[in-house]
This record gives sequence, structure tokens and C-alpha cells, in this order.
Amino acid sequence: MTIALVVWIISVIVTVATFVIILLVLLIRTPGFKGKQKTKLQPINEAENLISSAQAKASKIIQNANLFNEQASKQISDSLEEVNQTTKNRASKISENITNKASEQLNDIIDKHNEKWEQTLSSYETLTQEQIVQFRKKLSDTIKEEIKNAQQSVAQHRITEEKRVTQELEKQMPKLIKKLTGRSIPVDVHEDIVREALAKIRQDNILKP
Amino acid sequence: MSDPTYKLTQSVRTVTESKRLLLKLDRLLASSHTTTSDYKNLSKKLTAVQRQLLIEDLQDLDTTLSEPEAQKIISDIRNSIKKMPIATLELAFQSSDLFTEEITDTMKAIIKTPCLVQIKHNPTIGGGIVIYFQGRHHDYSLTDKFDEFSKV
Repeated sequence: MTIALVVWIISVIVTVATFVIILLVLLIRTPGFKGKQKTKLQPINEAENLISSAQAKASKIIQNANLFNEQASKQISDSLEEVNQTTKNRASKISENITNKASEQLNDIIDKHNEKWEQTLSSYETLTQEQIVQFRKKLSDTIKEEIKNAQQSVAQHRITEEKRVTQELEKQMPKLIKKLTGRSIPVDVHEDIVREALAKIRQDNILKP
Repeated sequence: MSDPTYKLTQSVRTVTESKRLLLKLDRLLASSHTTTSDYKNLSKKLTAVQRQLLIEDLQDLDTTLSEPEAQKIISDIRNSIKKMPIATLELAFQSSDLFTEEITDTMKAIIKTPCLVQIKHNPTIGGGIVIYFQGRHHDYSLTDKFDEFSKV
């Protein structure tokens, strides 16, 4: 009797476990369940791929065409890197609480940046060699002119500031010296100075009534 | 111009002294007197030196002055003091009584005319002396020397 009861309990447990396992397998195989996982990762991957692609393309164009000088190349590379980093940061932030709506927003952002940089890079590709040379010369001249203007402005500012400080010193120093001198002179010396001044006044005979 | 003949007028050296003396002379003029000897007695409001000088001023002119004549002399002394030019001296330090007396005497000797000396303390001049006399300004201060130096 006891053995029969134990066998019956074990068979019940095995049946329930089997049923639970079947349910879990069915749940995992459900299309909606898989789709949600895919939606979560897809925008981030796409964003990274698009930006990496744009950056690689830009680097290649810069390197091959020798379009810009070192400074300009660095500026563009830095800009791309900044866009890349910003987008990644935003994608990372959005992925924390990702939803369908967020995915759309992220895609929009990626598309926007991608379109912008594709457009920019395309315009570089269409430049002729002559235009590249002219552009480089113009850019170089502009930078030189700006540096010259900045140097002149700094030099002028320095002259103005030196003049102002000198004037201020000339104005303040005598006052300070007088103040300190007046206080530091002993009374008997003060009296001697006055006596000497009166002697000079008498000698000059300036106090005629 | 002030009358230098009166000894009492000549004895006054500073503006402060003149103010005190004028006040006393006004009181004296407001009193009723008959003879010079009465002034000797009634002028006790003055200091011993001033009283002596006033008596000498009165006696020098006439020993038998009538009251109106004596009052006229006192009034003249009063007016001569009021008309005395003032020499203002600026010093960079607080002058002692002794030094004030010394430079007052020196100033009177330099100007050679009865005048009143007024001393003011002005630390901004640094040192030396600045004199204002008869609308003119004579700068013998360190400030002036510094200004000259700055111009150079």
C-alpha cells in the first residue's frame, strides 16, 4: 500500500515537471518573445555600424585625397569622433529603458547624423584636384590671416594694458610714497625741513605784501 | 592796510589770538570809561602783556585822553587787527606750541608786515610747508618735489 502511494506521488511530480518544461519551451519559441530581444539590441548595433562606417569612410577620403592639412584633418576627425561618442552615449542612455518608441527615436538620430555626414563626405569626393589645391591654399591663407590678426590684437592689447598699468602706477606711487614718507619722518626732521623751506622762502623773498 | 603803529596790534601773531583779543576789545568798547586810568583798571580782561601794551598805546598818544579819544584808539586797534592779512601755513605734522611760536616769529620776520599766522595740519603734503598768503600759493612741500620728480 505504502509503495503504491509513493509510486503515485512520484508519477504526479514527474508529470507536473514535464508540463512546466513544455510550457517554458513554448514560451521561448514564441515570435513576440524573440522579437523583443532583437529590438533591444538592433538600434545600438545599427548606430555603431553606421557611425563606424562613416568614420572609416571619412578617414579613408582624408588619407587618400590629401585634401586638408594636418590641422584641418584633425578637426574633422575630432568632429567625427565627437559625433560618434555623443551618439554612442545617447544610444547607451536610451538602451537603459528601451521601448519601441525609443528605438524609433534612436534610429532617427542615427539617420540624421548619418545623412549629414554622408552629405558632407560626398561633397568632398566631388572636388577636383584643382579645387582641392585652391581650397587648401584658401584655408591656409585664412588661417595665416587669422593668426596674424590674433597676434596683432594681442600685441595691441598688451601695449594698451602696459600703458594703463604704467599710468596707474605713476598716479598711485607718488601718493603712496608721500603717505609713507610723511608718516615715517620723525618730528624733528619734519621741523628741520620746514626751517629749511622758510629759509629758502626768506632767501627768495617771495612773500612781499 | 593795517596800522603798524599800535604795539598791541603788533603783538598779535596768530588768528586764534586775534579772535580772543577782538572779543575782549569789543567788551571793553561796550563798557563806559572816563579816563585813561580807568582803562588801566578795566582792561583786566586782557592778559598782563596785552593790558600793558594797550596802556602804552594809549599813553604814547596822549596821557590825558578823553573817553571818546581812548575809545577811538581802541576801535582803531580793533580795526587794524581785523584788517591784518592772514598767512596760512600747512604742515604735514602736528606742530608743538614751541615750534608754532618759532615759525610764527619767522613768518612775521619774513613778511615784514603785521600779519596773522594760521597753522593747519595737512598730512597729504608729506613734509615741508605750503603757504597761502594774499591769494597766492607757495608750495615748499615734499608733494611738490614728488610732482616735479614725476614730471621728469
